[in-house]
Amino acid sequence: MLLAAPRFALPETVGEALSALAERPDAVVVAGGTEVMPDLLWRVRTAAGFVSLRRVGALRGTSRDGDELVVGAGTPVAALVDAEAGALAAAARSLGTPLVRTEATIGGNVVSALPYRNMLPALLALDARLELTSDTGRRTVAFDGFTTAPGVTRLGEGELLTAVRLPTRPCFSDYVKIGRRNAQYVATVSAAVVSRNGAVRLAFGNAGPVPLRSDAVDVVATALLDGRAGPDDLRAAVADAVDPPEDTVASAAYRRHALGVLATRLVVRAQVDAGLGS
Amino acid sequence: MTELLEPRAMGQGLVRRDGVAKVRGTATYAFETPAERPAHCALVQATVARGRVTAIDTAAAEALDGVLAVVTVFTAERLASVEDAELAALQTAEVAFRGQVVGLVLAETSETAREAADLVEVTYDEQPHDSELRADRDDLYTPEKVNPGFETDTAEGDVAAAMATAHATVDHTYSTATYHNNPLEPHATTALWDPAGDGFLTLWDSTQGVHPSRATVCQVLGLPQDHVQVVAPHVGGGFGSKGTPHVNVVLAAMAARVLPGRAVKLALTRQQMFSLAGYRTPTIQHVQVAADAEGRLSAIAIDVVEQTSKVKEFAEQTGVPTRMMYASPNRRTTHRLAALDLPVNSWMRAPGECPGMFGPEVALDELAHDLGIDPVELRIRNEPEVDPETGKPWSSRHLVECLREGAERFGWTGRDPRPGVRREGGWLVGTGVASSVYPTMRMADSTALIRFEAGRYAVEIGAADIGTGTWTTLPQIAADALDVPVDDVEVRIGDTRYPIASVAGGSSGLNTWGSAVVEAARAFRGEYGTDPADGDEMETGVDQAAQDEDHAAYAFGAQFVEARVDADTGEIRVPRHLGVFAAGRIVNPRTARSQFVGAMTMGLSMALHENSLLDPRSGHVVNHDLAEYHISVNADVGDLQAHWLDEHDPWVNAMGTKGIGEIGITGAAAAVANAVWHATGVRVRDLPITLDALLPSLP
Ligand SMILES: Cc1cc2nc3c(=O)[nH]c(=O)nc-3n(C[C@H](O)[C@H](O)[C@H](O)COP(=O)(O)OP(=O)(O)OC[C@H]3O[C@@H](n4cnc5c(N)ncnc54)[C@H](O)[C@@H]3O)c2cc1C
Repeated sequence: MLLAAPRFALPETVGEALSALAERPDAVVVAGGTEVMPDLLWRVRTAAGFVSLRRVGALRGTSRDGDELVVGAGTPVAALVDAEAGALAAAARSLGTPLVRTEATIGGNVVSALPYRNMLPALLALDARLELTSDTGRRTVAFDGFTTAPGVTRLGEGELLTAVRLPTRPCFSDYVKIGRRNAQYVATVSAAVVSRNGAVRLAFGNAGPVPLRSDAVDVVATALLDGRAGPDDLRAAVADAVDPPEDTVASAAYRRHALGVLATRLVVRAQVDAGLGS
Repeated sequence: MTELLEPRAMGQGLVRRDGVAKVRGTATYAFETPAERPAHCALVQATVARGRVTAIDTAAAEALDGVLAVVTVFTAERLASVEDAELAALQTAEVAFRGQVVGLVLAETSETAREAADLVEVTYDEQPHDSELRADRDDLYTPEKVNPGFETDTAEGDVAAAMATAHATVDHTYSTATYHNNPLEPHATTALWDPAGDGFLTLWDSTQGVHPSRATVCQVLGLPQDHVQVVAPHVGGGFGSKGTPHVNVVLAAMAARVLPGRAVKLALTRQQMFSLAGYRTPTIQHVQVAADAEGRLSAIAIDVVEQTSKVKEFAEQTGVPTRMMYASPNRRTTHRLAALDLPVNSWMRAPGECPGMFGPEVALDELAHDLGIDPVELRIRNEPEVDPETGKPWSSRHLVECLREGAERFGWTGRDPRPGVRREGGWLVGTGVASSVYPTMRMADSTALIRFEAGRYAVEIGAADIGTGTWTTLPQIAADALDVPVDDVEVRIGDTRYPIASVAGGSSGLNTWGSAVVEAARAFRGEYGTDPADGDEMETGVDQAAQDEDHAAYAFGAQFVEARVDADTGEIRVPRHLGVFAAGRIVNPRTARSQFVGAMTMGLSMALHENSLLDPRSGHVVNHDLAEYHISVNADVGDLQAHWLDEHDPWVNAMGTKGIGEIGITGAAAAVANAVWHATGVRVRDLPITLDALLPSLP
């Protein structure tokens, strides 16, 4: 049975959530449930119990802390569609359907850790940090490196993702994804850009087993921004850096090509924003 | 020739009578049928594609709290008829396809039933299976007939000779993918077996026809018709997959008989629908077309290779539209099948015409380009005066008018024929056209009862509303037949306690049921005049003898599409899609539009998105859910328009209707493919058209 009461905890604070998790070490954490529930129905995941974060008010909403924006892990994606960081907003806007966005949380997206998930390249480009909380305290880690394989993260046993922290320094940022449909699709490939003080930072989704960025690509992207390199240079650099999967949706060759196109498009948008291009 | 009804209520865009109930959620669908303490049924499915079940261990499932019964291929009741092997539920230990039902669990809740089903342990003697369709297989065979009874092969003249001497020829192979019907409402049944006396079975079922469904269930279970009632007031779509009962209905009935007196609920999951509820075969179409310099066809041929399940033969009539669509002295159509270890394929919206209007309609586009003739004009030049297949005159045929009006509305005139040369921003832009066709059918069996009750007319017939609008359109026909305001008519449908009605299939529903209603109304007036007494009633069937046999009756249409392809990524968008149809009298423009645009969207979906991916190693459709089996979404549809001509056809039936449920899907995918070619210069002959198929050759 899915919802037998003793196996189901509905804590109201982070502290209660951590104790509930400690009492049920095999339980699955559920935030919006938009990943967990289909997985259970499709029998690709089993659960010995559930700890729901739905009532943990402290995990919802955004606040400022110095020069960082703190986004609670339980904040629904729908609340981020107008976020100041353009990449975050664009990734939120193109995630699922209105119904899904209302339930889906940013934390669930991050912890799902699948390379095609919307938030991942956006957070990598934005150089986000993650706040992880456990019985023994709180630690903050870079998002870069948090995902180690598809679906696998450095989140510890009994640990919760409590917030995503983003630098608030002004920048241009954006996110794009490609798929076969015009809405409600998993990204065939995706990319995000941050351009700040003439320097470009790009990140890619479904370009390898984990969200991917590369210094070599950013050097060429920055050169493209100020006219020292051409689009073909950036495409070549991207093609070298990425290692996309091959599946029934698209070939690896298509993905490699499309990632270069997206990178170029994003840099062109950054150029326009900076008043450099047309 | 029939005397056509004077349209007064017919032709009005009345709102759906069941609309408010549906929007409020009070319309009861099969699974929601109120029942006291219902038991829930879950299925155990084979995990091998071929073999034999050697043992089933049900101990762990039975030990689970709340489990009421576990039934397997070794313990199930023996059915009266196993003639239809698809419906011979739990009668054999042989496994013929992956996903075949080998057991069922009954439990207090659906969660318990599913958990218990997971705990049933099945052991197999697995055997190698064969699930790959290829045109070069050496074991393709010739079926006796193709659905529903057409000749398998036809030939006239000498296609090869015409191809050898023609000014221009097209000779290519086209393919369509496997498609699953995927109505929004899954296949679901609430079943109750009342053991009193000889027993009575009630099935609240999601079906396209309560009477045909009852007939099948009675035969399989060996029950007399008056001991079975099938009820289906509202159906959330079927697209053919609820046109014949599938094994889930038989299983629900068997499950109910395990728990006499207690209602049992069985709904297929979306994933189970991919192996148990039918689907459309993939097709491989070798198309040959020959023409003179003016574009007049001297030959047209289609040789189709497709599949059937070994369990039960279904031969899709893919080549049939090529037999009648265009004039040509030399013609050939053939169908060959590969019999595979796969689930049973069956009807899906416009079986035959839907895949069969892809290859030939793209081939004509290729021919038009080769000859430098506009593709609209090419079709007009090949308009046959009579049905080329039978020599019969058309009951009415307005394809040319549809093409002309569509071209006008779409802004086709002055179109630059060159492919791959128009750019707007980063988009390559093109337009395409294709014809649509669907035969006009009327079934033999339907009876309507009309009774004068408390100042109003009640019309009873076991017809179905599968989202098509029958609740609303049948009263419009009855009102005109009785010459009363539509508000004075109440219809009662969707239940075998009403007089017999044919299936909602083959776009024949309203043609057939409406004919019965008109007959009954005329007989009623003949008997009781215009001032009947309360309780006066009349029951009359369709007059099969009056059915016109001297004309070829079809609905026609033309579809126009604008496609945009991103020059860098190959992403495809369809901002405009316009259809013009000549489909007889339109009874209700509001519900009709919804049929046309729904079917056109389904055709767009076939062109760009839908594709059931079979893994030949496991005999399993891997993308068996709506997350991965992509259907076009709202954002994929741009300016979508359906128009129709006021067509007056005196030969088809008393209403002059031709049926509109299926024609919209025919030709749609070809129009999209032709537009994508015109945009890019890349001719994709295999559906769906994907980004990576276009990309390597983009200009
Ligand atoms: C129809 C549909 C369309 C979708 N479309 C998209 C799309 O376009 N793009 C996209 O990226 N995704 C999409 N998704 C996937 C999903 O909606 C998102 O990944 C969503 O952000 C997941 O969040 P959630 O809160 O629902 O996660 P949940 O399902 O609740 O959890 C997901 C995982 O994260 C863990 N988890 C959640 N919160 C925490 C936490 N605070 N600490 C530790 N672990 C945690 C859970 O244990 C689980 O393993 C779609 C899903 C559906 C059903």
